[in-house]
Amino acid sequence: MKELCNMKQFREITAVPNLNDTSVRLSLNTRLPQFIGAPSDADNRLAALKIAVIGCGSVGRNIALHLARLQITEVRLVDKGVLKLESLLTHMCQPEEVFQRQPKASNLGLLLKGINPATTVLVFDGAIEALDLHALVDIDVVVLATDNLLAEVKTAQKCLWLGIPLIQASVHGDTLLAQVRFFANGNAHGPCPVCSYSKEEWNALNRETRFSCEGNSQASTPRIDGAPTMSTSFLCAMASDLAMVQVVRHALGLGMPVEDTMVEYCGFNHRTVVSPLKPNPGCPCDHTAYRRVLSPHSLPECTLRQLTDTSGLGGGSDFAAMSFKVGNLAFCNLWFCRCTKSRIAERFINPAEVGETCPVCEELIRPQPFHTHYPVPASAIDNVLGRRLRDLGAASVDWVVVYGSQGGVLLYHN
Amino acid sequence: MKDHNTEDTIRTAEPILSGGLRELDKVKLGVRNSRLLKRASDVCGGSAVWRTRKLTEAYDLLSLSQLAPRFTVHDIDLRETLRAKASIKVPVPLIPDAQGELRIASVALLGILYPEHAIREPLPGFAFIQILQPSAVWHANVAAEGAQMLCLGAQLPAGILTKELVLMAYGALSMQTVMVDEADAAGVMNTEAALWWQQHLELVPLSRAKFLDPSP
Ligand SMILES: [Zn+2]
Ligand SMILES: [Zn+2]
Repeated sequence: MKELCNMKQFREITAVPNLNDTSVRLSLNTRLPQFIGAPSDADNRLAALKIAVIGCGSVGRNIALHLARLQITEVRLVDKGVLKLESLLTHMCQPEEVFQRQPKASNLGLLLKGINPATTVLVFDGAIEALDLHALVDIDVVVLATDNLLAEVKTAQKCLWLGIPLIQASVHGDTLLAQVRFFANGNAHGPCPVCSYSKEEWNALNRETRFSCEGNSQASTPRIDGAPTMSTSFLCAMASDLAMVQVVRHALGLGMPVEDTMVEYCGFNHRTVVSPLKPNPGCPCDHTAYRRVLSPHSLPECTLRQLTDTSGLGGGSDFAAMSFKVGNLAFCNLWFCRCTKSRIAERFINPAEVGETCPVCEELIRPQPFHTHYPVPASAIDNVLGRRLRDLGAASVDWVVVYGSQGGVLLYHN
Repeated sequence: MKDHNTEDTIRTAEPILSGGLRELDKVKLGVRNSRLLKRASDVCGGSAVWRTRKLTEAYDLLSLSQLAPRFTVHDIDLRETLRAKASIKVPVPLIPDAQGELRIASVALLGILYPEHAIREPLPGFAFIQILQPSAVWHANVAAEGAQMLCLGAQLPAGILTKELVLMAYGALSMQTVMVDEADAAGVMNTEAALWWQQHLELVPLSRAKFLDPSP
């Protein structure tokens, strides 16, 4: 495995031990059926897909294995969990992997690479909430297979902002139900997973998300205390297989459109129901996709004024109404230490990192939350808009969102 | 600290008071508060759903200030994160003096912060309220070191209302709702203060006045 320079949060699985990759190269066409109504370049279309799987548990693991067998060009795996003893009941995994408590994403990545060495496999053994917004920018479809509601909310919002289709596969063990929902995210008026949250789901989200008061950090990482999904491996497999049908139908345009629909299979009566997904105007997610622009210049070398020009937003009188997200960095106007209550900062800081120490009192210098902005309005930083981001503490930023009255533009640079 | 103009004061005396806090949307804002809201809404930013929510929250905070003589909103910023600078007349415990006597301030100047993702995600209890003044607050839910964020519980639910945050802040500062168990991670930010308050429970609460009561 090696560090990727352009996708710094993901790690590429480059080789599988004890496997000569040329020995297993096969053509997908050896087994690919001629699906009715499929385009003539079906194999190429499948081969070109880049799909991210969020959640590599019992459902997501099966989906990822199917994707490797479809020989798509790239799979990205995201999961912060490790294999544990219970995994043997629902996952396709080996006892030794469980005893080693291998990270789910990395463990699965090796398996995928073994099935198809030609597929690029990138893994992130962390939570979706820790993944930078632009890390999924070039993905064709995101598949969500987690019962963690906070991860669901975060993934839903990321996919809405990026305008990427989201397929969510889930199970309800007691009722032998497998469910797949397809959110097209093609425009601001479509549904998202959060649109249909009931009072019970909001309560469950609030109940299972736990924070520690220790550290008093503004970047406190939540712990999820949700009950594990009660299901069987065959029901999880059913949900993942249904999700794969939707992936292929979407990619090849097979049958009726699958966008913004829900498929439910119930094992008690063997009935499959397809129903439309409806948006909720009161949904607290932002349903507006950002326009995406690959910046020709390294972002730290640019000023926010230049980036606004590149975005095509604002300019002139509109500029005062603009605002910015500079990666995950907050703009701190005032900070403090033990000896000075408020000193001018005027720079970007990473709220998750420990700051500098004061040369006088040798204590940590911390941001004043009330004078720290994320996103930062242009009018709160108008005196530094002409300075390079590098000189404002954002020397390694690789994505910026510029917001104006006409929406947001995501600028990124690899 | 109270700077309501005459019209605001008249409004607080209207029958709407009997409806209590559920009737905030029926309060007609006074001239000063209307001006504050207008200035903030002119530059209200973000997505449509966030802008709508911020305007409702800002209206609620300003209405609350007309119903509760002890609560004054000095400024509201709706450009991105909702930011309000507001004061509450409430006893605020300060670090005991050299003789060990508790000192008490009579007003808390609060920085209320409500970020966009709070409408759909639970956030830690210390994410919303910064005590800007006084300094040296001596309270189990306010860290001794740091920015004096007031912790209102281990986590607060997604979409919590700003008026609820204000009421919780009043309850916490007056110590009507108090968490002094240093072993309970839910809310205790200053263990030393928590232990001190355990030894001085006779001083709790610092006030029994209700939030809507006339201020002292
Ligand atoms: Zn929605
Ligand atoms: Zn210092």
